[in-house]
Amino acid sequence: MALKYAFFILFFILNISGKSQPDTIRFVALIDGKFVNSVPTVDVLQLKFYISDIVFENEKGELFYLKTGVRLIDFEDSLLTTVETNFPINFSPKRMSFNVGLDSTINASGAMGGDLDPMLGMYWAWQSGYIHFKLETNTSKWHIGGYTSPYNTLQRVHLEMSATTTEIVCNIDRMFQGLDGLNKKVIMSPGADAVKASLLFPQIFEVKE
Amino acid sequence: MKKVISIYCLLMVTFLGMQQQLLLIVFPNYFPEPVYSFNQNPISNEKISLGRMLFYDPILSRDSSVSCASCHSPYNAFAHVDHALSHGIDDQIGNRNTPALFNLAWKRSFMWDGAVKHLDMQALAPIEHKGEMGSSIRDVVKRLNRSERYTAHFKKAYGSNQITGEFVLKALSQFQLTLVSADAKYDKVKRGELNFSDQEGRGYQLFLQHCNRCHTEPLFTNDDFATNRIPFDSVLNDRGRATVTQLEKDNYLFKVPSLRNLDYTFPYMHDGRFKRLNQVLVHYTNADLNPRIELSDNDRKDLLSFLIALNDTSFIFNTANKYPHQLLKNIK
Repeated sequence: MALKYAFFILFFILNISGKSQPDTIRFVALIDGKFVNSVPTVDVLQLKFYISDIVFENEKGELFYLKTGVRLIDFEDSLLTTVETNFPINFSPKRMSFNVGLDSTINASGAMGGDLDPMLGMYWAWQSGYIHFKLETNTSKWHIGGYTSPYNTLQRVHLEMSATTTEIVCNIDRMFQGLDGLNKKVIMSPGADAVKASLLFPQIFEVKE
Repeated sequence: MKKVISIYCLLMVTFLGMQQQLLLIVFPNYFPEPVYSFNQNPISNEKISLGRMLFYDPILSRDSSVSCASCHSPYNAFAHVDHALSHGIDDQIGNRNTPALFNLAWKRSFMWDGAVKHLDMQALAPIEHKGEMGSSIRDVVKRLNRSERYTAHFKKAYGSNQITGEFVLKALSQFQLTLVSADAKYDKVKRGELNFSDQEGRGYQLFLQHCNRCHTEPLFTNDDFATNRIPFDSVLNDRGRATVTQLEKDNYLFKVPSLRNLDYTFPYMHDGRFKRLNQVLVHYTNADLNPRIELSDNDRKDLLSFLIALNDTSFIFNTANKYPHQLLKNIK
Protein backbone atom coordinates (compact mmCIF):
# COMPACT_ATOMS: atom_id res chain seq x y z
CA MET A 1 0.00 0.00 0.00
CA ALA A 2 2.76 2.37 0.98
CA LEU A 3 4.59 1.33 -2.17
CA LYS A 4 1.60 2.29 -4.31
CA TYR A 5 1.54 5.71 -2.66
CA ALA A 6 5.27 6.04 -3.19
CA PHE A 7 4.90 5.31 -6.91
CA PHE A 8 1.99 7.73 -7.22
CA ILE A 9 3.91 10.52 -5.51
CA LEU A 10 7.06 9.84 -7.51
CA PHE A 11 5.03 9.86 -10.74
CA PHE A 12 3.39 13.14 -9.72
CA ILE A 13 6.70 14.76 -8.90
CA LEU A 14 8.26 13.61 -12.13
CA ASN A 15 5.34 15.02 -14.07
CA ILE A 16 5.61 18.35 -12.33
CA SER A 17 9.32 18.66 -13.04
CA GLY A 18 8.57 17.63 -16.63
CA LYS A 19 6.21 20.59 -16.94
CA SER A 20 8.69 23.13 -15.54
CA GLN A 21 10.39 23.65 -18.93
CA PRO A 22 9.25 23.21 -22.52
CA ASP A 23 10.35 20.31 -24.74
CA THR A 24 9.95 22.44 -27.80
CA ILE A 25 9.75 26.14 -28.47
CA ARG A 26 7.68 27.28 -31.41
CA PHE A 27 8.11 30.45 -33.42
CA VAL A 28 4.86 32.16 -34.38
CA ALA A 29 4.51 35.16 -36.63
CA LEU A 30 2.45 38.24 -35.83
CA ILE A 31 1.03 39.44 -39.13
CA ASP A 32 -1.70 42.02 -39.45
CA GLY A 33 -2.49 41.71 -35.74
CA LYS A 34 -2.98 37.93 -35.90
CA PHE A 35 -0.74 35.10 -34.77
CA VAL A 36 -0.02 32.66 -37.59
CA ASN A 37 1.91 29.40 -37.69
CA SER A 38 2.53 29.32 -41.41
CA VAL A 39 2.55 31.36 -44.60
CA PRO A 40 1.42 32.31 -47.18
CA THR A 41 -1.11 34.70 -45.70
CA VAL A 42 -2.76 37.62 -47.46
CA ASP A 43 0.24 39.85 -46.75
CA VAL A 44 3.23 37.54 -46.49
CA LEU A 45 4.30 35.11 -49.19
CA GLN A 46 7.55 33.90 -47.66
CA LEU A 47 9.11 34.13 -44.21
CA LYS A 48 12.27 32.17 -43.46
CA PHE A 49 15.25 32.93 -41.26
CA TYR A 50 18.25 31.25 -39.69
CA ILE A 51 18.78 31.12 -35.95
CA SER A 52 22.07 29.92 -34.51
CA ASP A 53 24.11 29.67 -31.32
CA ILE A 54 21.02 29.28 -29.17
CA VAL A 55 21.79 29.62 -25.46
CA PHE A 56 19.57 29.43 -22.39
CA GLU A 57 20.42 30.74 -18.93
CA ASN A 58 18.77 30.04 -15.60
CA GLU A 59 18.56 31.85 -12.25
CA LYS A 60 21.82 30.31 -11.08
CA GLY A 61 23.63 31.73 -14.12
CA GLU A 62 24.13 28.25 -15.62
CA LEU A 63 24.24 28.20 -19.40
CA PHE A 64 22.74 25.55 -21.66
CA TYR A 65 23.86 25.58 -25.29
CA LEU A 66 21.45 23.95 -27.68
CA LYS A 67 23.21 21.15 -29.51
CA THR A 68 21.40 21.96 -32.74
CA GLY A 69 23.74 24.78 -33.65
CA VAL A 70 21.79 26.08 -36.60
CA ARG A 71 18.11 25.99 -37.52
CA LEU A 72 16.22 27.32 -40.51
CA ILE A 73 12.88 28.55 -39.24
CA ASP A 74 10.64 28.28 -42.30
CA PHE A 75 7.05 29.42 -42.02
CA GLU A 76 6.14 27.63 -45.25
CA ASP A 77 5.64 24.55 -43.09
CA SER A 78 4.46 24.82 -39.49
CA LEU A 79 6.53 21.74 -38.69
CA LEU A 80 9.67 23.73 -39.51
CA THR A 81 9.10 26.48 -36.95
CA THR A 82 9.76 24.50 -33.78
CA VAL A 83 13.03 24.00 -31.96
CA GLU A 84 13.61 20.96 -29.74
CA THR A 85 15.15 21.97 -26.45
CA ASN A 86 16.21 18.85 -24.48
CA PHE A 87 16.88 20.85 -21.33
CA PRO A 88 18.78 19.15 -18.51
CA ILE A 89 16.44 18.06 -15.73
CA ASN A 90 15.17 21.01 -13.66
CA PHE A 91 17.19 23.55 -15.64
CA SER A 92 14.33 26.06 -15.55
CA PRO A 93 15.39 28.67 -18.13
CA LYS A 94 14.96 32.37 -17.41
CA ARG A 95 16.75 33.87 -20.40
CA MET A 96 17.30 32.88 -24.00
CA SER A 97 19.58 34.34 -26.62
CA PHE A 98 20.19 33.42 -30.24
CA ASN A 99 21.65 34.83 -33.42
CA VAL A 100 19.41 35.76 -36.28
CA GLY A 101 21.73 34.69 -39.08
CA LEU A 102 24.92 32.67 -39.34
CA ASP A 103 28.49 33.41 -38.37
CA SER A 104 31.19 34.17 -40.95
CA THR A 105 32.74 30.70 -40.74
CA ILE A 106 29.53 29.10 -41.90
CA ASN A 107 28.95 31.81 -44.50
CA ALA A 108 32.35 31.22 -46.11
CA SER A 109 32.17 27.47 -45.76
CA GLY A 110 31.79 24.68 -48.30
CA ALA A 111 28.59 22.83 -49.07
CA MET A 112 26.68 21.62 -46.04
CA GLY A 113 23.51 19.62 -45.63
CA GLY A 114 20.34 19.65 -43.55
CA ASP A 115 19.10 23.16 -42.76
CA LEU A 116 22.21 24.61 -44.44
CA ASP A 117 21.69 22.91 -47.81
CA PRO A 118 21.69 25.54 -50.59
CA MET A 119 18.72 23.82 -52.21
CA LEU A 120 16.53 25.37 -49.48
CA GLY A 121 16.79 28.68 -51.30
CA MET A 122 18.67 30.60 -48.61
CA TYR A 123 22.09 30.83 -50.32
CA TRP A 124 23.21 33.55 -52.67
CA ALA A 125 24.23 31.78 -55.82
CA TRP A 126 26.23 34.65 -57.29
CA GLN A 127 28.48 35.00 -54.28
CA SER A 128 29.28 33.14 -51.10
CA GLY A 129 26.98 33.61 -48.18
CA TYR A 130 23.60 32.78 -46.79
CA ILE A 131 20.47 34.87 -46.74
CA HIS A 132 19.93 35.38 -43.04
CA PHE A 133 16.33 36.55 -43.18
CA LYS A 134 13.92 36.31 -46.09
CA LEU A 135 10.60 38.13 -46.12
CA GLU A 136 8.48 38.48 -49.26
CA THR A 137 5.13 40.08 -49.91
CA ASN A 138 3.21 40.72 -53.11
CA THR A 139 5.04 43.99 -53.60
CA SER A 140 8.34 43.61 -51.77
CA LYS A 141 11.26 41.26 -51.42
CA TRP A 142 13.72 41.56 -48.55
CA HIS A 143 16.58 39.08 -48.61
CA ILE A 144 18.74 40.25 -45.73
CA GLY A 145 22.24 38.86 -45.48
CA GLY A 146 25.91 39.66 -45.64
CA TYR A 147 28.76 38.61 -43.39
CA THR A 148 31.83 40.60 -44.34
CA SER A 149 32.75 43.86 -42.66
CA PRO A 150 31.34 46.50 -42.85
CA TYR A 151 28.15 44.83 -44.09
CA ASN A 152 27.74 42.13 -41.48
CA THR A 153 24.06 41.51 -40.75
CA LEU A 154 24.44 38.98 -37.95
CA GLN A 155 22.40 40.14 -34.93
CA ARG A 156 21.86 38.63 -31.50
CA VAL A 157 18.47 38.52 -29.83
CA HIS A 158 18.11 38.46 -26.02
CA LEU A 159 14.84 37.43 -24.42
CA GLU A 160 13.62 37.11 -20.86
CA MET A 161 11.54 33.97 -20.58
CA SER A 162 9.94 31.82 -17.94
CA ALA A 163 9.86 28.09 -17.45
CA THR A 164 6.44 27.99 -19.08
CA THR A 165 7.44 29.78 -22.28
CA THR A 166 6.60 27.68 -25.30
CA GLU A 167 6.28 30.26 -28.05
CA ILE A 168 8.35 33.13 -29.40
CA VAL A 169 6.68 35.76 -31.51
CA CYS A 170 8.32 37.09 -34.65
CA ASN A 171 6.54 40.43 -34.95
CA ILE A 172 6.31 40.94 -38.70
CA ASP A 173 4.02 43.96 -38.28
CA ARG A 174 6.88 45.69 -36.47
CA MET A 175 9.31 44.50 -39.14
CA PHE A 176 7.09 46.04 -41.83
CA GLN A 177 7.03 49.34 -39.94
CA GLY A 178 10.80 49.39 -39.70
CA LEU A 179 11.28 48.42 -43.34
CA ASP A 180 8.80 51.12 -44.43
CA GLY A 181 11.08 53.55 -42.64
CA LEU A 182 13.94 52.46 -44.90
CA ASN A 183 11.78 53.14 -47.93
CA LYS A 184 13.19 50.17 -49.81
CA LYS A 185 10.82 47.71 -51.40
CA VAL A 186 13.63 45.44 -52.51
CA ILE A 187 16.83 44.45 -50.73
CA MET A 188 18.47 41.53 -52.50
CA SER A 189 22.16 41.83 -51.68
CA PRO A 190 24.53 42.63 -48.82
CA GLY A 191 25.16 46.30 -48.21
CA ALA A 192 24.22 49.31 -46.11
CA ASP A 193 20.46 48.80 -46.58
CA ALA A 194 20.69 45.17 -45.49
CA VAL A 195 22.58 46.22 -42.36
CA LYS A 196 19.92 48.81 -41.50
CA ALA A 197 17.23 46.18 -41.98
CA SER A 198 19.10 43.70 -39.80
CA LEU A 199 19.12 46.18 -36.91
CA LEU A 200 15.39 45.46 -36.67
CA PHE A 201 15.96 41.81 -35.77
CA PRO A 202 16.60 42.30 -32.04
CA GLN A 203 13.40 44.38 -31.88
CA ILE A 204 10.97 42.01 -33.50
CA PHE A 205 11.28 38.92 -31.32
CA GLU A 206 9.38 38.60 -28.05
CA VAL A 207 8.23 35.85 -25.80
CA LYS A 208 4.52 35.04 -26.08
CA GLU A 209 2.78 35.32 -22.74
CA MET B 1 47.12 -8.90 -26.82
CA LYS B 2 43.99 -9.29 -28.98
CA LYS B 3 43.01 -5.71 -28.20
CA VAL B 4 46.43 -4.44 -29.27
CA ILE B 5 46.24 -6.33 -32.56
CA SER B 6 42.74 -5.11 -33.37
CA ILE B 7 43.67 -1.48 -32.63
CA TYR B 8 46.75 -1.84 -34.83
CA CYS B 9 44.60 -3.27 -37.64
CA LEU B 10 42.17 -0.39 -37.29
CA LEU B 11 45.01 2.10 -37.49
CA MET B 12 46.47 0.37 -40.54
CA VAL B 13 43.12 0.39 -42.30
CA THR B 14 42.66 4.06 -41.51
CA PHE B 15 46.21 4.87 -42.63
CA LEU B 16 45.77 2.92 -45.85
CA GLY B 17 42.41 4.58 -46.36
CA MET B 18 44.07 7.97 -45.99
CA GLN B 19 46.82 6.95 -48.38
CA GLN B 20 44.13 5.96 -50.85
CA GLN B 21 42.64 9.43 -50.55
CA LEU B 22 45.96 11.20 -50.97
CA LEU B 23 46.82 9.20 -54.08
CA LEU B 24 43.75 10.48 -55.94
CA ILE B 25 44.95 14.10 -55.83
CA VAL B 26 48.66 14.16 -56.61
CA PHE B 27 50.81 17.27 -56.50
CA PRO B 28 54.50 18.09 -56.31
CA ASN B 29 56.27 18.74 -53.02
CA TYR B 30 57.20 22.27 -54.10
CA PHE B 31 53.53 23.24 -54.27
CA PRO B 32 52.22 24.84 -51.09
CA GLU B 33 49.67 22.99 -48.95
CA PRO B 34 46.19 22.93 -50.51
CA VAL B 35 43.65 25.17 -48.82
CA TYR B 36 40.55 23.15 -49.73
CA SER B 37 38.94 21.51 -46.72
CA PHE B 38 39.35 17.87 -47.81
CA ASN B 39 38.30 16.61 -44.40
CA GLN B 40 34.81 18.05 -45.04
CA ASN B 41 34.64 16.27 -48.41
CA PRO B 42 36.68 13.06 -48.35
CA ILE B 43 37.82 12.06 -51.83
CA SER B 44 36.59 8.81 -53.36
CA ASN B 45 36.58 7.36 -56.86
CA GLU B 46 32.78 7.14 -56.92
CA LYS B 47 32.38 10.81 -56.02
CA ILE B 48 34.97 11.90 -58.59
CA SER B 49 33.13 9.91 -61.31
CA LEU B 50 29.86 11.39 -60.21
CA GLY B 51 31.30 14.90 -60.28
CA ARG B 52 32.69 14.24 -63.74
CA MET B 53 29.26 13.13 -65.00
CA LEU B 54 27.63 16.25 -63.58
CA PHE B 55 30.33 18.50 -65.05
CA TYR B 56 29.63 17.26 -68.57
CA ASP B 57 25.87 16.81 -68.30
CA PRO B 58 23.61 19.65 -69.49
CA ILE B 59 20.98 18.41 -67.04
CA LEU B 60 22.26 21.23 -64.82
CA SER B 61 20.67 23.78 -67.13
CA ARG B 62 17.01 24.73 -67.46
CA ASP B 63 16.54 23.27 -70.95
CA SER B 64 19.38 20.73 -70.94
CA SER B 65 21.41 22.77 -73.40
CA VAL B 66 24.32 24.00 -71.28
CA SER B 67 26.79 22.02 -69.21
CA CYS B 68 29.84 23.22 -67.29
CA ALA B 69 31.90 21.90 -70.21
CA SER B 70 30.03 24.20 -72.60
CA CYS B 71 32.24 27.04 -71.38
CA HIS B 72 34.94 25.13 -69.52
CA SER B 73 36.27 23.19 -72.50
CA PRO B 74 38.22 20.04 -71.64
CA TYR B 75 40.46 20.55 -74.68
CA ASN B 76 41.54 23.98 -73.52
CA ALA B 77 42.54 23.64 -69.89
CA PHE B 78 38.82 24.10 -69.19
CA ALA B 79 38.71 27.64 -70.54
CA HIS B 80 36.43 28.89 -73.34
CA VAL B 81 38.95 29.23 -76.11
CA ASP B 82 38.46 31.92 -78.75
CA HIS B 83 35.60 33.51 -76.81
CA ALA B 84 36.25 36.87 -75.21
CA LEU B 85 32.93 36.60 -73.36
CA SER B 86 31.06 33.35 -73.01
CA HIS B 87 27.53 32.56 -74.10
CA GLY B 88 25.06 30.58 -72.07
CA ILE B 89 21.44 29.51 -72.28
CA ASP B 90 19.40 30.93 -75.19
CA ASP B 91 22.67 32.25 -76.66
CA GLN B 92 22.88 35.03 -74.11
CA ILE B 93 26.33 36.59 -73.91
CA GLY B 94 27.88 37.13 -70.52
CA ASN B 95 30.15 39.93 -69.33
CA ARG B 96 33.35 38.08 -68.46
CA ASN B 97 35.87 35.65 -69.92
CA THR B 98 35.64 32.04 -68.69
CA PRO B 99 38.62 31.26 -66.45
CA ALA B 100 40.61 28.06 -66.97
CA LEU B 101 40.15 25.37 -64.34
CA PHE B 102 43.18 23.74 -62.75
CA ASN B 103 44.96 23.73 -59.39
CA LEU B 104 41.73 24.74 -57.70
CA ALA B 105 42.60 23.19 -54.34
CA TRP B 106 45.02 26.07 -53.79
CA LYS B 107 42.57 28.89 -54.37
CA ARG B 108 41.16 30.95 -51.51
CA SER B 109 38.47 32.53 -53.66
CA PHE B 110 36.88 32.01 -57.06
CA MET B 111 35.63 34.12 -59.98
CA TRP B 112 37.31 37.24 -61.37
CA ASP B 113 35.95 39.27 -58.45
CA GLY B 114 36.46 36.64 -55.75
CA ALA B 115 32.73 36.50 -55.08
CA VAL B 116 32.88 32.84 -54.12
CA LYS B 117 34.89 31.82 -51.07
CA HIS B 118 34.75 28.04 -51.39
CA LEU B 119 35.00 25.73 -54.40
CA ASP B 120 31.87 23.80 -53.34
CA MET B 121 29.70 26.87 -53.77
CA GLN B 122 31.08 28.10 -57.10
CA ALA B 123 28.80 25.90 -59.22
CA LEU B 124 25.77 27.71 -57.79
CA ALA B 125 26.73 30.85 -59.69
CA PRO B 126 26.45 29.49 -63.25
CA ILE B 127 23.60 27.11 -62.35
CA GLU B 128 21.42 29.96 -61.07
CA HIS B 129 22.52 32.69 -63.50
CA LYS B 130 19.67 33.43 -65.90
CA GLY B 131 22.14 33.97 -68.74
CA GLU B 132 24.29 30.89 -68.10
CA MET B 133 22.32 27.80 -67.06
CA GLY B 134 19.06 29.47 -66.11
CA SER B 135 18.15 27.00 -63.37
CA SER B 136 18.42 26.60 -59.59
CA ILE B 137 20.09 24.05 -57.37
CA ARG B 138 16.63 23.13 -56.12
CA ASP B 139 15.47 22.28 -59.66
CA VAL B 140 18.73 20.49 -60.46
CA VAL B 141 18.20 18.27 -57.43
CA LYS B 142 14.61 17.60 -58.52
CA ARG B 143 15.76 16.58 -62.01
CA LEU B 144 18.51 14.36 -60.66
CA ASN B 145 16.16 12.65 -58.21
CA ARG B 146 13.94 11.73 -61.18
CA SER B 147 16.89 10.06 -62.96
CA GLU B 148 17.53 6.37 -62.36
CA ARG B 149 21.10 6.77 -63.54
CA TYR B 150 21.85 9.50 -61.00
CA THR B 151 19.94 8.06 -58.05
CA ALA B 152 22.00 4.88 -58.49
CA HIS B 153 25.32 6.76 -58.67
CA PHE B 154 24.50 9.02 -55.72
CA LYS B 155 23.43 6.02 -53.68
CA LYS B 156 26.78 4.38 -54.43
CA ALA B 157 28.77 7.51 -53.67
CA TYR B 158 26.92 8.85 -50.63
CA GLY B 159 24.88 5.90 -49.40
CA SER B 160 21.69 7.95 -49.62
CA ASN B 161 18.45 7.36 -51.48
CA GLN B 162 17.87 11.10 -51.69
CA ILE B 163 20.07 13.41 -53.71
CA THR B 164 20.63 16.77 -52.02
CA GLY B 165 22.21 20.09 -52.99
CA GLU B 166 25.10 19.35 -50.68
CA PHE B 167 25.92 16.06 -52.46
CA VAL B 168 25.71 17.60 -55.94
CA LEU B 169 28.04 20.46 -55.05
CA LYS B 170 30.53 18.28 -53.24
CA ALA B 171 30.69 15.78 -56.11
CA LEU B 172 31.36 18.57 -58.61
CA SER B 173 34.14 19.81 -56.32
CA GLN B 174 35.76 16.40 -56.19
CA PHE B 175 36.03 16.11 -59.96
CA GLN B 176 37.39 19.64 -60.25
CA LEU B 177 39.95 19.00 -57.51
CA THR B 178 41.48 16.26 -59.66
CA LEU B 179 42.37 18.86 -62.31
CA VAL B 180 45.96 19.38 -61.24
CA SER B 181 48.43 20.85 -63.71
CA ALA B 182 52.00 20.36 -62.56
CA ASP B 183 53.87 18.64 -65.37
CA ALA B 184 54.93 21.42 -67.71
CA LYS B 185 58.55 21.77 -68.81
CA TYR B 186 58.96 24.23 -65.92
CA ASP B 187 57.95 21.46 -63.49
CA LYS B 188 60.33 18.96 -65.10
CA VAL B 189 63.13 21.51 -64.71
CA LYS B 190 62.07 22.04 -61.08
CA ARG B 191 62.32 18.31 -60.51
CA GLY B 192 65.76 18.18 -62.14
CA GLU B 193 64.58 16.07 -65.08
CA LEU B 194 65.26 18.67 -67.78
CA ASN B 195 67.06 21.98 -68.30
CA PHE B 196 65.68 25.20 -69.71
CA SER B 197 67.02 26.24 -73.10
CA ASP B 198 69.09 29.43 -73.03
CA GLN B 199 66.12 31.43 -74.24
CA GLU B 200 63.73 29.87 -71.75
CA GLY B 201 66.30 30.51 -69.01
CA ARG B 202 66.51 34.20 -69.91
CA GLY B 203 62.73 34.32 -70.02
CA TYR B 204 62.56 32.77 -66.55
CA GLN B 205 64.87 35.45 -65.16
CA LEU B 206 62.74 38.18 -66.74
CA PHE B 207 59.66 36.51 -65.29
CA LEU B 208 61.17 36.49 -61.80
CA GLN B 209 62.13 40.11 -62.13
CA HIS B 210 58.87 41.52 -63.55
CA CYS B 211 56.01 39.04 -63.09
CA ASN B 212 56.60 36.81 -60.09
CA ARG B 213 55.26 39.43 -57.65
CA CYS B 214 51.68 38.71 -58.75
CA HIS B 215 52.01 35.59 -60.89
CA THR B 216 53.92 33.85 -58.13
CA GLU B 217 55.51 30.47 -58.95
CA PRO B 218 54.85 27.54 -58.78
CA LEU B 219 51.11 28.18 -59.10
CA PHE B 220 51.86 31.29 -61.18
CA THR B 221 49.29 33.29 -59.31
CA ASN B 222 49.23 34.75 -55.82
CA ASP B 223 45.43 34.28 -55.93
CA ASP B 224 45.02 37.95 -55.02
CA PHE B 225 43.38 40.93 -56.76
CA ALA B 226 45.29 43.48 -58.77
CA THR B 227 45.12 45.95 -61.62
CA ASN B 228 47.49 45.83 -64.58
CA ARG B 229 46.11 49.15 -65.80
CA ILE B 230 44.29 47.91 -68.86
CA PRO B 231 41.97 50.76 -69.91
CA PHE B 232 38.49 50.71 -68.41
CA ASP B 233 35.73 49.41 -70.69
CA SER B 234 32.73 51.68 -70.18
CA VAL B 235 30.40 49.31 -72.06
CA LEU B 236 31.01 46.33 -69.79
CA ASN B 237 31.40 48.69 -66.83
CA ASP B 238 32.97 46.03 -64.65
CA ARG B 239 34.34 47.22 -61.32
CA GLY B 240 35.83 43.82 -60.56
CA ARG B 241 36.53 43.13 -56.89
CA ALA B 242 34.59 46.24 -55.85
CA THR B 243 31.34 44.64 -57.09
CA VAL B 244 31.71 42.23 -54.18
CA THR B 245 33.25 44.36 -51.44
CA GLN B 246 31.65 47.66 -52.52
CA LEU B 247 34.82 49.41 -51.43
CA GLU B 248 36.37 52.18 -53.56
CA LYS B 249 39.86 50.81 -53.05
CA ASP B 250 38.85 47.60 -54.85
CA ASN B 251 37.67 49.33 -58.01
CA TYR B 252 38.91 47.66 -61.20
CA LEU B 253 40.94 45.02 -59.39
CA PHE B 254 40.59 41.52 -60.79
CA LYS B 255 41.82 38.09 -59.73
CA VAL B 256 45.37 37.31 -60.89
CA PRO B 257 45.04 34.30 -63.23
CA SER B 258 47.63 31.54 -63.46
CA LEU B 259 50.13 31.70 -66.32
CA ARG B 260 50.02 27.94 -66.85
CA ASN B 261 48.61 26.55 -70.11
CA LEU B 262 48.31 29.94 -71.81
CA ASP B 263 48.59 28.45 -75.31
CA TYR B 264 45.23 26.80 -74.75
CA THR B 265 43.29 29.51 -72.96
CA PHE B 266 43.27 32.62 -75.22
CA PRO B 267 41.89 35.26 -75.30
CA TYR B 268 43.27 36.90 -72.17
CA MET B 269 42.13 39.27 -69.40
CA HIS B 270 38.80 39.29 -67.51
CA ASP B 271 37.02 40.39 -70.68
CA GLY B 272 39.15 38.49 -73.19
CA ARG B 273 40.32 41.66 -74.91
CA PHE B 274 43.78 40.34 -75.88
CA LYS B 275 43.83 37.53 -78.41
CA ARG B 276 47.58 37.02 -78.46
CA LEU B 277 50.14 36.80 -75.70
CA ASN B 278 52.37 39.26 -77.49
CA GLN B 279 49.59 41.85 -77.17
CA VAL B 280 49.57 41.21 -73.43
CA LEU B 281 53.30 41.73 -73.16
CA VAL B 282 53.19 44.88 -75.29
CA HIS B 283 50.52 46.21 -72.94
CA TYR B 284 52.73 45.53 -69.92
CA THR B 285 55.68 47.27 -71.57
CA ASN B 286 53.66 50.44 -72.11
CA ALA B 287 51.41 50.40 -69.06
CA ASP B 288 51.66 52.95 -66.30
CA LEU B 289 52.69 50.44 -63.68
CA ASN B 290 54.72 51.07 -60.57
CA PRO B 291 57.47 50.02 -61.05
CA ARG B 292 57.32 50.18 -64.83
CA ILE B 293 58.10 47.04 -66.77
CA GLU B 294 60.75 47.64 -69.43
CA LEU B 295 60.85 44.91 -72.06
CA SER B 296 62.78 45.03 -75.33
CA ASP B 297 61.57 43.05 -78.34
CA ASN B 298 64.06 40.31 -77.51
CA ASP B 299 62.96 40.34 -73.88
CA ARG B 300 59.41 39.73 -75.00
CA LYS B 301 60.51 36.79 -77.15
CA ASP B 302 62.44 35.30 -74.26
CA LEU B 303 59.55 35.79 -71.90
CA LEU B 304 57.13 34.17 -74.36
CA SER B 305 59.51 31.25 -74.64
CA PHE B 306 59.36 30.82 -70.87
CA LEU B 307 55.55 31.08 -70.85
CA ILE B 308 55.41 28.29 -73.43
CA ALA B 309 57.39 26.19 -70.94
CA LEU B 310 54.38 26.50 -68.61
CA ASN B 311 52.09 24.57 -70.96
CA ASP B 312 51.32 21.14 -69.53
CA THR B 313 50.29 18.79 -72.33
CA SER B 314 49.92 15.82 -70.01
CA PHE B 315 47.15 17.79 -68.27
CA ILE B 316 45.61 19.07 -71.51
CA PHE B 317 45.44 15.60 -73.05
CA ASN B 318 44.63 13.61 -69.93
CA THR B 319 41.73 11.32 -70.88
CA ALA B 320 40.72 10.89 -67.23
CA ASN B 321 39.23 14.38 -67.17
CA LYS B 322 37.47 14.21 -70.53
CA TYR B 323 33.83 13.48 -71.40
CA PRO B 324 32.82 10.25 -69.66
CA HIS B 325 31.24 8.40 -72.59
CA GLN B 326 30.34 5.26 -70.69
CA LEU B 327 28.88 7.00 -67.65
CA LEU B 328 26.78 9.40 -69.74
CA LYS B 329 25.70 6.84 -72.35
CA ASN B 330 22.28 7.60 -73.81
CA ILE B 331 21.62 10.83 -71.94
CA LYS B 332 18.71 12.71 -73.46
